[in-house]
Amino acid sequence: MNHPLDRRQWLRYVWATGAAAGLARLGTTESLAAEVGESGGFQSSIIAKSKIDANRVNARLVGDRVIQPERQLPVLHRTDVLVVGGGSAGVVAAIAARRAGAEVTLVERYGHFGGLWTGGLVLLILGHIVKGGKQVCQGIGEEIMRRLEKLDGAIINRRPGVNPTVDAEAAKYILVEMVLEAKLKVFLHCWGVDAIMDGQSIRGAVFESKAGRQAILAKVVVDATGDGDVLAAAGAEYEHRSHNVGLVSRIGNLDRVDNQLAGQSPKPRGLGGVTPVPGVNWVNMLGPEVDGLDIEVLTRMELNHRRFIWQNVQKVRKTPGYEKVYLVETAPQLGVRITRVLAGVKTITRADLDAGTKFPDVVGVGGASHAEHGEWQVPYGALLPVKIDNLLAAGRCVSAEMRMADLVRLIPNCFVTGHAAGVAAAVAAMDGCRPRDVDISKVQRILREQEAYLG
Amino acid sequence: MNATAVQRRPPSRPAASAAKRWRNLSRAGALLAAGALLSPWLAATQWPQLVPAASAWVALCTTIALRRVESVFVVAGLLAAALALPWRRWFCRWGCPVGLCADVASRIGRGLGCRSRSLPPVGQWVAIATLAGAVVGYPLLLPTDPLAMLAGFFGLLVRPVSAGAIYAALAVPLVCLISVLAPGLWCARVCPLGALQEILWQLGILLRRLSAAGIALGGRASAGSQGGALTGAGSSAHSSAEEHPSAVAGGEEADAGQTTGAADGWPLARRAAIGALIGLFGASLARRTTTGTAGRLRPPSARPEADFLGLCVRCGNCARACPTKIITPDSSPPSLAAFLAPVVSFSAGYCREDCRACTEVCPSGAIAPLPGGDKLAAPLGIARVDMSLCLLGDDRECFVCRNCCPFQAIRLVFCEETYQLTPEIDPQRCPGCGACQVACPVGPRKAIVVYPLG
Repeated sequence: MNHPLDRRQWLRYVWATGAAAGLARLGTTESLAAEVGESGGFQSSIIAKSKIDANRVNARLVGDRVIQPERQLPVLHRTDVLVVGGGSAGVVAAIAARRAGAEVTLVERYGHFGGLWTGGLVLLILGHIVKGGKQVCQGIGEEIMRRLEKLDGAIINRRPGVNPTVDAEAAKYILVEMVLEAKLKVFLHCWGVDAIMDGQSIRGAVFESKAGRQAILAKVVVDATGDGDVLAAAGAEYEHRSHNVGLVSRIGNLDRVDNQLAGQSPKPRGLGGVTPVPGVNWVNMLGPEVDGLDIEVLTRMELNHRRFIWQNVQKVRKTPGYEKVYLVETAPQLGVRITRVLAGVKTITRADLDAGTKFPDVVGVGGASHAEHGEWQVPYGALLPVKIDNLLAAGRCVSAEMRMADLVRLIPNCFVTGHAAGVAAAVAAMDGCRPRDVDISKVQRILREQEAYLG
Repeated sequence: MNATAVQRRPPSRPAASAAKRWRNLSRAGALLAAGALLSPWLAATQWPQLVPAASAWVALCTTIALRRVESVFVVAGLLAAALALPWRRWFCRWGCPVGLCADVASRIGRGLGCRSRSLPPVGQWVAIATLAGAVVGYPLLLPTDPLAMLAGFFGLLVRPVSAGAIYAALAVPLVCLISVLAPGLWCARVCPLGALQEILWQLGILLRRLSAAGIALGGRASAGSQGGALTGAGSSAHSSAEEHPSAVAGGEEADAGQTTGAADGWPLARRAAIGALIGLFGASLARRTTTGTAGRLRPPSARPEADFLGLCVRCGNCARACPTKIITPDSSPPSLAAFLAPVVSFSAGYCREDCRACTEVCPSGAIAPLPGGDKLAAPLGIARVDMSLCLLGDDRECFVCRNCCPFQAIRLVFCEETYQLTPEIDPQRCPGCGACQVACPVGPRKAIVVYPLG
C-alpha cells in the first residue's frame, strides 16, 4: 500500500485492463464489422481471413501474347437509364432523366462529381452567354448556378452578360446535394471499361473498380465520359482528335501581395484569375496539343505540368512583392479538352452557327466562349450514334465538327447536352423505344418543363 | 449670242421642244435605269458596274491607264466615246441622268431669278489633265465624273450610312446647287464628261476635215471607209448648223460658249498641251502623297495603293455590293488623294471567303477582277497577333481566332520551354479576311488585327 507500483506491475495492470475492455467489447465489435465491413472501433477489423479470390479468371501469357479469357461478370445493378460519367454533362443528364421519371444510375470514375469543372478546376464558366449578353444555358445548369449563388463564397461575377467563376468545392458539394435529392443510384470510383452489347444495341456497361469487373444493365446508356469511352467500346463511329492538354492549379496569398513593391517590376506570368476564395486565384494552363487517349502522353503531361507549375510559382515568389504567394493545389484531373468525338446522325457545324440554323429536333442551345457570336442549336441527332442503338452521347464527345469542339466542350454547353441526353434517355426507356425513335416533341416538351431553353 | 438665240428660237420652237421632250424622256429613262442598276437588288451582280463604266470619260481614262479594256461594261463607255465624235454631246442630251437633274435645278434657279454665269472651260481642263494622268496610270480627277457621282449618291442605300457615304452622296446635290445658283453652268462649263464629248466632237470635225482633204487630194481611198466619215461629217455639219445657236449641249442650258471655235483646232491644242502638263504634274504629285495611306486596308484584289487611288472613281459600287458592309468610303483619309476611296474595316463583319462581289462591280479596274474568286491570290492584308493583348499570352482559355479562320491559316504553337501557346499565322494561307479580328474577344483593341501587306 505504502510502496508504489513498480514499472512491471503497472504495465501488467494496463495490459489486463485493456484486454478485459477489449474482450468485453469483442462481441459487439465483431458483429458491427461483419455487418458494415468497416472498422467498428479502435482498430480495423478483419473482414475475411486468409482469403484467396477463387472465382478469378486471370489473363494468361500464351507465348508472348496476353490473353484475357472469357468469364461471367457479376451484375451489380439493373436500371432504366445508366449515365456513365459524373461530370457536368453526366450529373445533369442523370438528374434530368430522374426528374423525367426514369430509374437512373450514375457512375463516376473519381470520388466527386463535376468532372473537369471541379476536378479539373475549370472554374471560369465560359459558354453560357452569347453576343449581346443573353444567357442561353438554362434548365438544370442554371439551377446549379442559382444554388451556388445561395451559398457563401461559392460563385462570383454572377451577373448578366458576365462569365462567373465558381469554387470547386462548393460545386462538388452542390452536386452531391442535388444527386442525393434526386435519389439517384450512384457508384463512385467506377471506371466504365466496356459496353455490354446485344447486336447493335447496348444493354449496359462494364465497370472496373476495387470490387473488380462488374456489370450494370440498362435500357438506355448515356455516354458522359467526355472521352467517349462507352461509345467507342460499343463500336460507334467516332473521330479521334488531338487537343491541348493542360493542368490547372490554384495559388494563394494574392491578397498579401505587396502592391508597392509589385508595381516596380513587371507582373509575373501565371497569376491567373480570381476565384470566390479571397486571395486565391485559379491558373489556367493551355498545354501542348497531344493525343489525350495515349497513356504515355498523359503521364508525360502530368509530370511536365506539375514540374512547370511548381517552378513557375517559385518564379512568382522571387518577384518582389509576391514572396508570400504559394501553390494551393494542382487539379486532381488533367485538363484533357477533346479526344473522341461521336460521328452522329447530325453534326454541330460552324456553318449552322453562322447561319443561325434552327433544327426541328432542337434539344438545346449553346453559347459562345466569349460572347463573340450568337446562339447555336444542338440537334438531337448530334447525340445519336449512326448505328449503335440505346446509346446517347452527352458533353464534349457529342457530334461536332473540329472548330465547334471548343464550344461543345464548355461547361454550360455540357450542361445543355447532358440535359437533353438525360431527358431523351428517360423518354426512350419509359416509352420502350430506341432513342432514335423517340417522340422528339415529347422530349422537347419535358425539356421545356424542366426550364431548358430551346431557342 | 443670247440675243441671236432668242431671235432664232421662235421659228424652230415646236420642233426643238418636241426633241427636248424626247431627250428628257430618254434621260429620265437613263436615271431610272441607273437607279435600278445601283439598287441593292442588283448589288450582288456585275450590273452596277455599268453606271460609271458607261461614262465615255471613265472608260477612256481607265482603258488608257490600264492599257487594256477591263470588262465588257467598259466597252459601253468606249462606244459612247466613239459616238461623241460625230454626235456632239449626244450623251448629255440623250443619256445623262445628272444632266437631267442639273437641268431641273437650273430651271428652278432661273425661276428664283438666278442668272447664268460665265466661267472658263474648267471641264475641258479637268478632262485633259485627267486623260494625261491616265497615260501615267493616275487619272487624277476621275471621281468628278457625273455617273460616278450618281453612283456615289446611291451609297446612301447602305445601312448604316457612313460619313464617307454621306460625303460621296453630296456630289450630285452639289451639282444641282451649282445649277440653281448659276443655271446651266455645270453642264456647259464644269462637267468633265460633257467637256470630253465636246473635245471628241471637235476632234471629230478635225478628223472629218482631214479625211475630206484626203479625198480631195488623194481621191483614191476606198469608197466604203471614207463614205462613212463623209456621211458623219455631213450630218455633223448639219447638226452643228442647226443646234449650235439653240444651245442645247448638255441639255438646254449648256450654251455654245464652250464650243467657241468648234472648227478651230488651235485653242484646243494649246489647252491639250497645257492641260496634259498639269495632268502629268498633278498625277506625280498625287502619286507621291499616296505613300501616306499605306496603312489603309483596301478591298481584296485592289491594285497597288498608288494605282488604286488613281483609278478609283469613288462610285461606291464596292461598298454597296459588299454583303458584310466592311467597305466604306474613307471620310478621314491620311491624305487628300485617298478621300472617299473605299477602305475596309472589320468592325462588324469580315471579308467572306465565298464572296467576290466588290471585284465584280468595280467599273475602273481599281479593284481587279478575281476570276475563280481565289481570295488567297489577292490578299487584302495579313493578320498579326499582339501577344501583349492576346488572352493566350495570359494563359487564358481562348481558341476563337483559330476556330473561326475560314482558311485555317492560324495554328497554335506550344513552346515547351516557356509553356506559352501562341497563335501563328501562315502567310500563304491568310488572305486578310478579318474573320479572326472580328471574332477576337479582346477589346476595344483587338489582339489579332489585319494589316496591309508590306
